[in-house]
Amino acid sequence: MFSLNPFSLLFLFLILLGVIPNLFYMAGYLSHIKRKTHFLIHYFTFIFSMIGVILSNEILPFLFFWELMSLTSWQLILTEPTDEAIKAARFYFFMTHFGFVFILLFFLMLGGDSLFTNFENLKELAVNFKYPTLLFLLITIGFLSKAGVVPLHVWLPYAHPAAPSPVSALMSGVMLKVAIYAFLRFLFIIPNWQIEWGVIILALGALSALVGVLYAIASHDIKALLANHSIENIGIILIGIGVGMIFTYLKLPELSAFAFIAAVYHTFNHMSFKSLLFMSAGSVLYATHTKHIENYGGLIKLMPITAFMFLIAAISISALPPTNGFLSEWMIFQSMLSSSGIDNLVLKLSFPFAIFALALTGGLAIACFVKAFGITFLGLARSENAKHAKEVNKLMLTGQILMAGVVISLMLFMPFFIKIINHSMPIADIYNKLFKNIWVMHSLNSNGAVAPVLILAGLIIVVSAIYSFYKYLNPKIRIYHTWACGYNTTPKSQYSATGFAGPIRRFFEWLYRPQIHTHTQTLAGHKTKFSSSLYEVHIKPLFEKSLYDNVVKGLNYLSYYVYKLSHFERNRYSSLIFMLLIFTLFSFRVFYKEINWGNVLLEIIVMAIFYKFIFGEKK
Amino acid sequence: MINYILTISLIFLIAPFLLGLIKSIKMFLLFKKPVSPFQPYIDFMKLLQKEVIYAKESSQISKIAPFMILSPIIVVVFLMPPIFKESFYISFIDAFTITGLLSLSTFFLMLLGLDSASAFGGIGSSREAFISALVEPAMILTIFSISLIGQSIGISKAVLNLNNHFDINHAASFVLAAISFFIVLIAENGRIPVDNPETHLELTMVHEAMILESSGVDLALIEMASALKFTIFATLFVSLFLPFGVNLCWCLAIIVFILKLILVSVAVALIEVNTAKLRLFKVPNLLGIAIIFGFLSLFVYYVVGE
Repeated sequence: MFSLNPFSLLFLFLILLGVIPNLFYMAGYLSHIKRKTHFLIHYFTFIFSMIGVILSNEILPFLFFWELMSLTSWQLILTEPTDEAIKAARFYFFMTHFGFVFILLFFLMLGGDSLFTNFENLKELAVNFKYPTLLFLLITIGFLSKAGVVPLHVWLPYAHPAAPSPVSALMSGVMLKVAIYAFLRFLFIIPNWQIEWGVIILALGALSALVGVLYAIASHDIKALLANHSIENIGIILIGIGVGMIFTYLKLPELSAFAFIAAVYHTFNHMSFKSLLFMSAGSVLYATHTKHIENYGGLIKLMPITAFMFLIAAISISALPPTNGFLSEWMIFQSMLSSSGIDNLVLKLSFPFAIFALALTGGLAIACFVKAFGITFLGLARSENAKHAKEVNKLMLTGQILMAGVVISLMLFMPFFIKIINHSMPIADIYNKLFKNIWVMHSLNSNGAVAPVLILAGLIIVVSAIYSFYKYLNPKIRIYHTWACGYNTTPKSQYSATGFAGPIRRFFEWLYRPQIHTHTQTLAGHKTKFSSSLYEVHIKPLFEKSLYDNVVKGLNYLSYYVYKLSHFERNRYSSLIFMLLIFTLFSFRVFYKEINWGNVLLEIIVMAIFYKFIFGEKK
Repeated sequence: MINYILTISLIFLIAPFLLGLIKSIKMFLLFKKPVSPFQPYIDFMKLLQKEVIYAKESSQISKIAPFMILSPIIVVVFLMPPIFKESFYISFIDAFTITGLLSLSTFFLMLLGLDSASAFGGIGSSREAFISALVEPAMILTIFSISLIGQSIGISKAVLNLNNHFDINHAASFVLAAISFFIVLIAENGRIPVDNPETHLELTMVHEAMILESSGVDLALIEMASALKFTIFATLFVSLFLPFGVNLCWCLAIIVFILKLILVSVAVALIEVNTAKLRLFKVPNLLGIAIIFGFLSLFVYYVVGE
């Protein structure tokens, strides 16, 4: 029923790294939650079910724990049943079961006779399965809708922020990784990967990365911002997986191993810094009672430890050296650089686009986290709540510090992590090629190399050298008002989050299609003098607007007709059944026995006559 | 090893001179009485003696930011390619790390702008975030392309390869990458037409707006960082895209190197005099050109083949 194979153990390790700091944080956060029993039961069942998903080795236990994970997280979103949370939970419930249908189909098609087939047998069954592409598409839709890949990501920015902060950290940090685990696990079961599959995953990854970061910049709710960033990072992970799949198809086992290691290493890194970000943002929320980023400001003076933790995670997620986020992104860039060895020219020409997407994502992520950190923690308090914020309790701080420890150790002990990732996946063993010594990681070709510990040491040495120079000069220090060219500095005169993202929002206007509300109260008819002014921007995600709203509209349209049908008298119902019978019989004859246009025409005519007979005599 | 130290100290020493040189060429061309190119050294010494003023509204970030702005750039200076052949160089850190370290410096610069709660700092940070987000893909694409042409992603190795053997088949993609990199050089260092380093006008300033509240030693450190950043970009440009002179004897090689740096400075000065600063929302067009040239360079490389 359960198995402790290396790949499961690897992700068990990931879950434990994510959960243990979270337990401390949760214990500190608990006083904030009203329905404590409800919360605790679901919280622990949630963790338990994630471990169950990772360890189960048969179909039924896997599906059971997967569903348990969905249901408990759904209940956790409803911990504080506000209108917003109920709406988010409903959306989440629908989307997670939408994915579940595809997972179920995958197992029903592949599983043969028994629901207790274990995954090793599943692998043998998959070899004989006629349509591997179908299996691939089923797991892509099934598992990646849970991971939040564009265009199945729309629920994520609603669901993750609606949960209490420890749960947001678990959902974004750990649950998405469970989806990635399941995707990889079953991907390795399917034989004969096609080139198109890798390209599909690569394209989905590039799209998710860009869409995620662009909507993250436009978000004003700090937790929604982080949730959108999860979409971006899942995109980066998928870029790694896609590159790995392409190289596997091209029979380049070492390069594909490198790309898969990069993807899984980024999975670890994203778990660490995203959990930390959600914890710190949750602490800010705990202290200020508001999620709106425009109400923050100046919190670094009141909550220095939380601010410092947020800063560490922000540097890491922005992929700045020498942090762990940089290292995994470096690996993904390196694996894409290896694409120059491919013979297929068209495929080769498609790689620069993925490189472009990843580089632009990196640049925008920096902008996004300067905004998130700068507006939240720097400057002056923009509201009363922020002015009276206090540092959170010790347990919550312990959780954050432990998670920061995970972030830093992922950087410092990179060779160790790469080693266990490499050895627990069914890929070529390249550890010795990457690390000739433990200080420097080499890429497989083109002489790329990176040395995080040495860069860190270099930075520390240089900073201390400059600092001692500074101390030697011993300049006179004066504390005075902000100069700002002589203007008064007030909380209102600072840059807001909306203003900070302004240029980027304007440049990507075709994507955002913002709805702008302005309201100005002018003084005595003067155009330039006013007593109050308001500028608000609302952005509804394009995918939600075009894809989901239209589906909803179509369903409404359909249900209108169904509704009309269902209000007939009894004889109409029976005639409807009669029509259906005739339709089925005719169709059977036409399509199964003698398919030609004459018969189709005949069927249409007969149906039309019957229609006239039965429904014709209206009133 | 002594060669290496010589190279590094040359870069450190020449950095303020290049900025001073650009300024004096510009003044000369605009029929003003040019300042001495050595003026930045005097400014630097002057700033060291002044008192440091911190804003009441600012936090610890204002105190640590100058160090964090300067130190990644100093680390990058130590990774610069060799000026002449036998020189020692650091081979275990590649071009991605260099772009990453430069971004780390920019990250803290943007935080510094937001820290003092003034609207000007916010303006600067917001614009810088916008511009550097769009510079990033151009830079990465160019680096990809030049690393393919130079057959190594390690900058120093690529420089030596290009010097020893320049493959004429890839000349087209080389030139496209060079144009793209030059635009990146202008954009990253805040020169006209992207940013005007000489005015303090809220309509135009980007870099100056972020450091408006810094003073004394802090300002000296930040100014040094921006001078070094320009020199780093100029060094990368001349080493990668003007690949000659490294194989000469060391004294000649250094002279050729300095001449090449001066050439880049003159080119930047000429561009500054002859163009107007672009409106902020026109800057993406320029960066778009850099991105397209980066793409083209890679495509041409792939189509021409190994």
